[in-house]
Amino acid sequence: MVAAAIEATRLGVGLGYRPAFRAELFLNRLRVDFLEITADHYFDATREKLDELDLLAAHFTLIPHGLDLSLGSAEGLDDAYLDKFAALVERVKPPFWSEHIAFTRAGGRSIGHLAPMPHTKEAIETIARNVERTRRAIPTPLILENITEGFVAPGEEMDEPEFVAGVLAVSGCGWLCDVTNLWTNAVNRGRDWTVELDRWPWEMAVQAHFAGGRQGRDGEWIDSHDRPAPPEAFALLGELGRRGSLRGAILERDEDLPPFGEMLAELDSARAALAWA
Amino acid sequence: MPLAEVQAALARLVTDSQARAAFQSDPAAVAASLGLSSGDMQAISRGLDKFAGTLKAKRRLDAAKMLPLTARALGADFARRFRAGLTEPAQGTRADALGFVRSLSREPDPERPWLVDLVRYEAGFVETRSDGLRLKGFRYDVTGIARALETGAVVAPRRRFTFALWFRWPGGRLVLRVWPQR
Repeated sequence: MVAAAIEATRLGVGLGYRPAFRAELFLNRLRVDFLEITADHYFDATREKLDELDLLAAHFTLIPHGLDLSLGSAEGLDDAYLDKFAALVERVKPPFWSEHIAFTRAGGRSIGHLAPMPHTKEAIETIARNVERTRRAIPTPLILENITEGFVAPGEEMDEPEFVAGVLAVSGCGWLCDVTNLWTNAVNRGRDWTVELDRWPWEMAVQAHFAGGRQGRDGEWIDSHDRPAPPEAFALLGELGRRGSLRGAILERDEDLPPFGEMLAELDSARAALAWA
Repeated sequence: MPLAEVQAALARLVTDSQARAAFQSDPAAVAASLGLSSGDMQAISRGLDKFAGTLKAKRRLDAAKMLPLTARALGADFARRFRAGLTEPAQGTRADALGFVRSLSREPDPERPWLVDLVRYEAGFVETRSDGLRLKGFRYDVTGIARALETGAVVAPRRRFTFALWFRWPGGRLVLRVWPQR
């Protein structure tokens, strides 16, 4: 199983890196265990951006997290994008790297965001096929993240827990369990996330994401990454800690950055939830 | 329906506001033209507009990161003016940012007459992100305006002819020179 094959060293709890808090990150270096970097920000990067990457790599374990590989695309992968990702992974040498159970390109169009996959056998096989192509270019283990599903893709043959478990099993990838996305989808679809707990593939989880969102005008939760993580996210982290063999957890905060100390406090809350304090 | 066709239809609906408007006004006809069944149509109709709105918001946030001083100068007005100038299909954040610069440059702001200089100044950094040479003239002390916005100070624009040169070799560091120097 790929999840077990990934180096067993526990990374701890860290942050999705954002340049806006670079100075404070280094001032509080010892309270952030590792960093997740947005891979796309270092493709065709300026000299200055590569210097930043080398500086971060000198002080933290970096996990590259991609946005646009579009592993769910039935039309296959963009080879040029894959080559850039391979070069970044070679430069950073992470224990694993991550992408999404989603597609961002189809019919010659770039969507510009992660679109949900239909929960079908064909979708599972498509992702597995693209993952296999990816492995030939990047042998480093890949883990896949469950996304917030902004709409229901047509043709559903199974529900989300079964679909995610199927993707991971057939592709042989580990799981980047985004606990906030998991909770958000359940709440928005009227499902009781507490009842579904036993149906998720916790044993496949290698890393977690946790983040805060907000409710839109219609009451649906939005994965906005601009608020503190909700209590349910920490409850799910607790489940992960008890049921899986998690290596690390990352706080994602993209907008409305609070004082850095507040984010450090969220990292401590995650450590407590995981019983890693 | 094969996955490739489903994905192509979804990609068109979420990125093409005209296709989406047509779908909302006559879902059955548009669904049939895209090869979607009535069941498919019902599945996607809920959430389609919201997802498309999310895409536009993401484009705005990404463009604001490329033009941070312009975003700070415009404040809440950034979103409205960005939306007004948004074009489809999306061509990437760099294209969105430079398109927004062009749109702002065409509409001088009577309350912020220095705004056009500021956006053209920020555009210099975007245009030479990978390589290139740019020489631009400004009517205001644009670096003074930039410094005020960076530090959160009140912008007290001073009219002074200013020139800025951006230069970057492919793979090299950016060289910026401004005259007269402060």
